[in-house]
Amino acid sequence: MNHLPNRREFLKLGGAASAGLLGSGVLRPISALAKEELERGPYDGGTWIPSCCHMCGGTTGIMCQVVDGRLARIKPNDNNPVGFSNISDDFFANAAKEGAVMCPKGNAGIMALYDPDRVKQPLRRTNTQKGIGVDPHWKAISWEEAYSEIVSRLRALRDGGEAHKLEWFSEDHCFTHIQSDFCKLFGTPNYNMHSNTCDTGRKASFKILMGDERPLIDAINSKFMLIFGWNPLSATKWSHLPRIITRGIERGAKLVIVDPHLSYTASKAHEWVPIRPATDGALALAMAHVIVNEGLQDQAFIDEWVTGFDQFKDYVKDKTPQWAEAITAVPAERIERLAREFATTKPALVDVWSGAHHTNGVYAGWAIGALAVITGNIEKPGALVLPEKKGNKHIEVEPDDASKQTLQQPRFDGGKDKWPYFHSSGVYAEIINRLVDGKGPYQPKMAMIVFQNLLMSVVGTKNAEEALKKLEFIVAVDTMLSETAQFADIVIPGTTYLERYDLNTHWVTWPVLGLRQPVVKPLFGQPAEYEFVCELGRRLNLKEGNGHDVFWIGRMSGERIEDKTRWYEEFLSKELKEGEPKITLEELKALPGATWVSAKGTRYNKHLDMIPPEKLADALTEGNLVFSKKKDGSKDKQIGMLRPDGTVVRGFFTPSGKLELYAGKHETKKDADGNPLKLLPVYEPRAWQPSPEFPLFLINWKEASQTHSRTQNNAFLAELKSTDGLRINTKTAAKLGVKHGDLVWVESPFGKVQMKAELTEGIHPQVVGTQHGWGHWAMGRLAKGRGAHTGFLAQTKACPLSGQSLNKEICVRVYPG
Amino acid sequence: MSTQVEEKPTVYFLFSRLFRKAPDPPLLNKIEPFFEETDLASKAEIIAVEYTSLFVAPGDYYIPPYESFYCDTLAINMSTADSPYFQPQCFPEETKGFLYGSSTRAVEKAYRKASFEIDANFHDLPDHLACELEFMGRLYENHKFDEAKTFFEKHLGRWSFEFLQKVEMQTESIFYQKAATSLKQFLNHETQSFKRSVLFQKNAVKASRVMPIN
Ligand code: SF4
Repeated sequence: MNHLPNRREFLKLGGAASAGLLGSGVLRPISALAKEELERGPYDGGTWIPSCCHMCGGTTGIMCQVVDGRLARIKPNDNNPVGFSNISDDFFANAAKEGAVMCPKGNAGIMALYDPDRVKQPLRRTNTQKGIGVDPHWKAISWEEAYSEIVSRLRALRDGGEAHKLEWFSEDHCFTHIQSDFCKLFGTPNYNMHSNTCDTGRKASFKILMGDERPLIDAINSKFMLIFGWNPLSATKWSHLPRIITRGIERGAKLVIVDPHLSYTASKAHEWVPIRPATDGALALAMAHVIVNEGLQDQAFIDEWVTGFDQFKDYVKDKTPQWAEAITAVPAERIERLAREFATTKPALVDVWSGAHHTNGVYAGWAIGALAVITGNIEKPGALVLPEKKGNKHIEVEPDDASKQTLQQPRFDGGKDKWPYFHSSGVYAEIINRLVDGKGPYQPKMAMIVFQNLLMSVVGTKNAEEALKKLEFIVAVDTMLSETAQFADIVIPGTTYLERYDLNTHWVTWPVLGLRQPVVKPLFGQPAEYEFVCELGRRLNLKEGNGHDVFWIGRMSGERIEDKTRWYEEFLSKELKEGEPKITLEELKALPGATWVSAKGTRYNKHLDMIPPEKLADALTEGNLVFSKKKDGSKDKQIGMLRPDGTVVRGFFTPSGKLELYAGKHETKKDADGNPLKLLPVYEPRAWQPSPEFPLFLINWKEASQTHSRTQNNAFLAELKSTDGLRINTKTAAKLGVKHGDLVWVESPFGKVQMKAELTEGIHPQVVGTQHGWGHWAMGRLAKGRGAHTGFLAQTKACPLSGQSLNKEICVRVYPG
Repeated sequence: MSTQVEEKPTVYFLFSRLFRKAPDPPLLNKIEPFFEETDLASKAEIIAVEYTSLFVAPGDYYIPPYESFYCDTLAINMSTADSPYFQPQCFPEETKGFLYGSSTRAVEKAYRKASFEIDANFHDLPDHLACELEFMGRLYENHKFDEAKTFFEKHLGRWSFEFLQKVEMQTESIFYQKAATSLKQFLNHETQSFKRSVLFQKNAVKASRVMPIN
């Protein structure tokens, strides 16, 4: 039409309108409620709603100011310890005075909510071809169409006895219970979670050593902090971290950072120990050698609480500082000095986090933990502390017979049978590899990918691409059209953490539970993810074995509830009531900062806790270990150990009840590659070593400016930092003829990417590195095309012990581009 | 030939419908003469994909159809962090391009003041082009010409041209490029007629002032 409409044309249009072809429009006569809201006018100053952040997995307490229906500001929540301290004394005494904190990502949450590149409606791909860079040719579809298609796919699987061919991937700290319940009731053993791309290596190390997966550091009371491969002042995952460390320093602690890269934390530390990647284990063993050689160990503690000290002592006999110097590039004298300082300063702590993403990672973590054990720095103020994580209770559901059948199928990733230190989050890398090579016990057909970007969070991107192509049907639930969502057959618009509920119990040493609650309604009227899952359950008519209609019946009222939000509120209330807080959701909302904080506080030396006689009366004893009983009288969880004096204490939940430097009970086990397990925290060179062709180690790290690969489209964070280059040592660069700011190729046998060189003295000369998460080729206008994704340069591989993705084991060559 | 006032609601409703969701074959059949096209109905599926890539699914072709995205600004105070890793980048001090800004709430209130609200089944934002267009139609329908003029000046007229221009630049488009051109012409025409009405009103005011003296 190149002219203004004329009468004749309008008559035609009028016809369209009168034939009802225009539909009924979007505006309705005003309701009483909306009218009343209008008359009430804008609320001056707005309302403050307490909640918990989820810009990362840190769950920091936040206060959200909602003005006139819009989120205007986020500030820290002083009533939630996660933003202040992980130790109760400090929190109780100082939080109100000093106030909690948030990291920059927490501040930037508003822009995640109001990001213009959010997914708004369900989308169906119309292009049957899938691949990196392939336009899915999305077509917006109605919710009804989306639900009925997904449900018919799911139903076909379940009715055909193939429920186990559904792979479910989810984020952690987000409505995980309802998702795993769904999987169980549906009949798939293949529920997976983010952790195996994060810290299941660390978890395995500490599980072997102390029977607990996630000890936390009591930095605030420490006098010496020795941290390997972790950047806690910047890569905050819960925002009290920088504060407790700097407070520890203010109170006289020394901070030593072992890292190939001068991280932000290293730059603020008393000492930075540059080390060759993946050799931390050797350094720790040599330190142990010095400590034991010079008799600096805490022998009394060892005699009482450690198993295998003699074997360990024997093992480290030849792990001299000179031996370690050749491996780690840390001078022998420095190793000796650090060992002495560490052993003689009390209390001291050690820790390692995602530095463990390499083949020696689990044993290295164990060796690092061993330093704490031999110096008696366990469960004491200022040392490594086992958190008492008591919060909401996951109410287990009972699957029906059909589901029980398919639940008996092995996990696709091999599960416990394959991985000796398997974590319930699964093994993403193995799922990807098996999808590609077809050598799993069966071939999954469908994937539900909730808020996970597999293509960027598991290395071996081309391989992951092939794996996704093998699936017949993919549903992605996400707020953004991530690289992985581009492979979906149907995309469901997700909610941000500001639009939904969750219960959070992590990252402090005593029982605390913070509420995440919707501060605004979901922007596009979409259901929160738990409502989406509930709707699937309802449409599939999933019930428990006894016919109980779990997705309909409110867990508190016992009544059938149509409204899914209300149904979920009862779901949460029940978890709270049956859990440690013993309050309802409404009561939790009413607590200051919507946070339940146990008055019991941080407890140290919990291994000395006596097991109460009433518990003992109903327990099983096996050797020196005591177990609780299941309903049917069989052995359940380890609860304590018998001491020589006849008393029963908690001890440590290891096979000996003590801290283990020698894991004798693991003798008959094999790792995923079929090799016998090592019974000591051995150092072995990682599998992929530099070669003349690919002479440099490539590492990656996290910083405060971004979370993983998911926040790069955030406008506020882009303002802080909008890309990253390749950090390279000045000397190395000179040899390669590379100048600061030059474009260089970074190449491995698996691919090459182009990056800008950033010259620095702050990286080991044999190492190049970059912040993880850049190099998006989709996701949104700010994220796309900035920096490089180094996942293209690696193979997809899981640690054969823990199933952790080996995201940092890459060697490359660098040349001017 | 100019558009008559009584025909305006229909035009607004039609365009509102076209930008609310992709047209189905019966509607395409009805309107194809208007777009000087034939056999549009057979292209309904392609048009639906085009609609999605332009207005629904963020990606290379996405043009957000929201007033907030074009009009609302936000001042970001530059970071004061001294870390070498936190160098503020080159973003302008005033940021545009986000959703649910003050405009979103303002239009929602305008609808309510005129006794309308958004249907619960419309899963999108109040400042979506489709809502604003329909509201204009409703105002005309109810002979609220002053309100229509005000809403046009305060909202629709402030951003729709920029938005439509972007759509017009989508040369691959088989339908929405033309739809955008048509709507832009219509809205241009609206701008003109509002100007004329101002002149007319001013003249009327002048006349009334003058009258008593005469
Ligand atoms: S560390 Fe930052 S992003 Fe993570 S939860 Fe805390 S405030 Fe949020």
